[in-house]
Amino acid sequence: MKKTQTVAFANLIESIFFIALGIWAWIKTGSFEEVKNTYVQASTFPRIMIAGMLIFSVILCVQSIWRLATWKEEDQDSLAGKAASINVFKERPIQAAFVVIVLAVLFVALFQILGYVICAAIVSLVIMFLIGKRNWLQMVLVSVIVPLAMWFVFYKVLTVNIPMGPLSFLTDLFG
Amino acid sequence: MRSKTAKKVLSAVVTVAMLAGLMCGCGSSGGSGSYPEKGISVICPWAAGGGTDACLRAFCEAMGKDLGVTLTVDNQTGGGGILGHQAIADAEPDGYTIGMITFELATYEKLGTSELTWEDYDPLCRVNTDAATVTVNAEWAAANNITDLASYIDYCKAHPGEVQMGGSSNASVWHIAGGYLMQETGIDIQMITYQEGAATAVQNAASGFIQGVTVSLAEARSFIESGHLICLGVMDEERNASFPDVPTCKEQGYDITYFTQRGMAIPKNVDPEIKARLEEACAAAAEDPDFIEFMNNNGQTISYMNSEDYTAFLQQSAADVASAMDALGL
Amino acid sequence: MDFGLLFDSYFAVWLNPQVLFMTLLGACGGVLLGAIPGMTATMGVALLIPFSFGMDLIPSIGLLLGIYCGGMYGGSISAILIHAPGTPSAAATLLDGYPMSQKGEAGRALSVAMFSSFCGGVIGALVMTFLSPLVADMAMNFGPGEMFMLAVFGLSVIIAISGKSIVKGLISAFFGMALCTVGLDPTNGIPRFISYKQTGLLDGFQFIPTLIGLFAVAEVISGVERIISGEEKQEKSSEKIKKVLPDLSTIKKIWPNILSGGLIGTFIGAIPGAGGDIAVFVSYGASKSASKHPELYGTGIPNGVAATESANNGCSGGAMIPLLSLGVPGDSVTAILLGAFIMKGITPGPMMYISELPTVYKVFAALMLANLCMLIVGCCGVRFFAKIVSVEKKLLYPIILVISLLGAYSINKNVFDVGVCVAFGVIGWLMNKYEFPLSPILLALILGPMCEKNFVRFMNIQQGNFMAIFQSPIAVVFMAIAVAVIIFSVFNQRKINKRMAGASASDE
Repeated sequence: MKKTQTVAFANLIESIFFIALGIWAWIKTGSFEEVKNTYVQASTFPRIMIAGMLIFSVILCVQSIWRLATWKEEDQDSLAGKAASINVFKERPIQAAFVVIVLAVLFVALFQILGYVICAAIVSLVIMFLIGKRNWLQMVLVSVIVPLAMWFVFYKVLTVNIPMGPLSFLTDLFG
Repeated sequence: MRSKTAKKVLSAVVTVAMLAGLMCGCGSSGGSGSYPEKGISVICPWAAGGGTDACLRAFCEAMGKDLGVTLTVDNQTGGGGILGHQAIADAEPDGYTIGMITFELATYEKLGTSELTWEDYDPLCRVNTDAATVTVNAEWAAANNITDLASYIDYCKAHPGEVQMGGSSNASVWHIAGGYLMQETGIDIQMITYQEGAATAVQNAASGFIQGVTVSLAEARSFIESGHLICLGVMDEERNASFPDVPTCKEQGYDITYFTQRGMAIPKNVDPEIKARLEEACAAAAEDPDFIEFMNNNGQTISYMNSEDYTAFLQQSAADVASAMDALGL
Repeated sequence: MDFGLLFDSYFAVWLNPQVLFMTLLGACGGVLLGAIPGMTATMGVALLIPFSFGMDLIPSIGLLLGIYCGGMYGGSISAILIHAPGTPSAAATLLDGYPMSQKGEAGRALSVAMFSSFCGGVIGALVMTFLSPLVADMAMNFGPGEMFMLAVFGLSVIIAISGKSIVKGLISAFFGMALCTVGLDPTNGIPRFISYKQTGLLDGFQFIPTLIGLFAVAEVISGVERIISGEEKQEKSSEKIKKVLPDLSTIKKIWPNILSGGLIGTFIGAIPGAGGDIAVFVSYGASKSASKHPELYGTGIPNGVAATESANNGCSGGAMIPLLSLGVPGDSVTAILLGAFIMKGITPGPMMYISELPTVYKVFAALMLANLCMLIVGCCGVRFFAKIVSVEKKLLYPIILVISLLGAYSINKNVFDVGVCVAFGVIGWLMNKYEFPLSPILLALILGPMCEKNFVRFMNIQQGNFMAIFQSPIAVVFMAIAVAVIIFSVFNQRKINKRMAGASASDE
């Protein structure tokens, strides 16, 4: 195992990420408008929190560098273990996870146009296929009936309107 | 085993779907061919359970009696009411989506959070107004010989910037009421904001953390009755029916009227015939005994205005609100 | 205390068939509503208010209290079974509840949750019946400074729920606190990290979509990953649910947690502005600190579930205290209940105990009845709910995803919130992968706004003099406890890490 695959190395990257995020956010707080009639400015509280985040990120960073500097191949402790990977190009499970994320984003993008039932049915069908379900009858039934039932409960029992897109006629039908 | 459970689940799901089918028969309402043919969706820009929501639900019940269809309240909340107000303005102008507009609409343009103004709507009617008050902690008032509005204002003039009054959240109606009070009487008080809402402000005032509140009588009711708070004046034209002992500011020589308002509105470009039908339903609803009883119990005042008057009112109040916000430096 | 009148009131309420029916109906609805992520007891109560127009006061209060208590328990069902807290108050239940169901003990977790909810609720109702005036006096003394210190005290639990790495837990917590500041500044309405045009973010990240994203959506993403990599095994649900209530040996183990949880819940619930979502974490932290085996918390032990579930149901009793005796609602549900009372022409407040004492006692009785109804509904439902775990995972995960996204939408009817939910799903998934604990973010999201608002308000009232906080005994006590908790949990965590290291060494 290489040094760059250890948890310690992953921690180093994470701490750098949080430090960068903190610095960016801190700079942003500089542009908050200041007002006269208050004793605490809008930027005060966020700055305290960002400072806290930065301090502990730096601690994590130093810890990780220290661990990496003294790292040996045969170390067994948790920091020397193998870190999780998010390499999309190599690992199939990660690819699947990304497909789910993309589907969820598509769900959000198409929610108003296609409506809940259609979006939900498509998303769940594709995910079921992706994770190796092949019983088409079950797949189609579950992914169509569950969203329909959810819509019905929300619309009829809880009187919550949900976009239905092309299926809006159902709303009129159940008046 | 696995497929057996799956089948069980499936059968359960199918049963639900069949039940859904059955219930559809009971749910449909008979359309007569003319408007309204189907249920109307009513957008509420504030969360379920709040004051606006309660008032609107009761009003919709009453409108439904006249229109003969169900009016479904749809709480589209977020962005300090902007999202819901936007949704009403952007709705399909077919008369099947209407909504309730509230006081806060007048503040958005000034705050810069949205460009929406009353001119983006066709107002149907005003439903309710609740007046702001000057209500102070009883112990504090007794210690400083404050018995009425005049002595309160004298005290504030003698101690500029020291008296702390609570409203609700920033730029909300009760917060701006404080600004209006300052502007009209020339006093300098510090307004403390309560994002959690008026209830917390009232509790804080009753325990003496702040000296007073500007919230409505209904919201301060329990502590006024218990004697923790005393109301020095209501910013209304007339005394409140539930509190006949509390004087108005006007009768004490200060011409201050300030209230929150709620009304029904539709998007622009709705067919005039449909609009007329809706106005008729609003007028009938405001007279509905159930609605009146509900509002009385709730301590909310029904102050119905027809479409024309309400439009003029909105125009006037937009100007008033803007100048009060200037006094607060918003 | 007029015991004769109290007895009469119980008699009148418990034997009234209409009240019984409405309360049972409410409890049923509440449990189901609570179990759907995104549907909260608040929403259920608000939606049912119009139905209660035509009813008498006590049946309608019974109905609403039924929903309230049922919803508190219902939230734990989805937290335990699918890692998606149905209500914010169930957010801490999944810390131990979900591991339990993964170990094949879903039924046991559910029955522990139900039993603890009931006991917590009863404790709350008892405190409310006998100590209302005392507790109400305490609640009146909470001003901005005290609330700020209460929030700080709540935040001190973070270390106890951080897991292995305290540093990572603190980074998560501060990240969460910084996230809370996105949106309009609460005091002066100044946009922070956004422009006025981003309407969806003016109020900041909405809590429930964020919660659903961090837990439910993230769990679906990693679940799919596990299925593809073959790590996910379909549990055959070997668990046979013989009894719907936990057995005696379990009850013996968890009763101290239930007792302390119920009391913590009641007292935190009684403070206006602090509710179940805070109480559960405080109770969880307390029971972990007091335990002889703190290293077992988070691995699926019934004590963790008992501590949280008793706390959130204790809250329902606690929140009723300021409602009835001060007219100040303790949380969002009681705010709506206040409306229900007023609609019937009764104004809760100090005068109510004088002029409407029989009604007050009837409300006590109705709350007790609502807890009993919740227990009955729960008992009937346990077997059925536990079956959800044995649904094939390949069908279950997609369904959880689409139900969660709908839940995120239904809170505000805003598609933007669904986007927030997905984004936090990805964040939650990544943080899980790299062992950043999620609970500190959640706690920060709950307490961050409360902390900031009250801090700013306190400073404005005291004209910038922070030292004035030392004049308030309540605030000083909270501060002292917070410091003690922080120091204690750091040492406790060291002990836990040592034991874990020892355990893994002996495994080899």
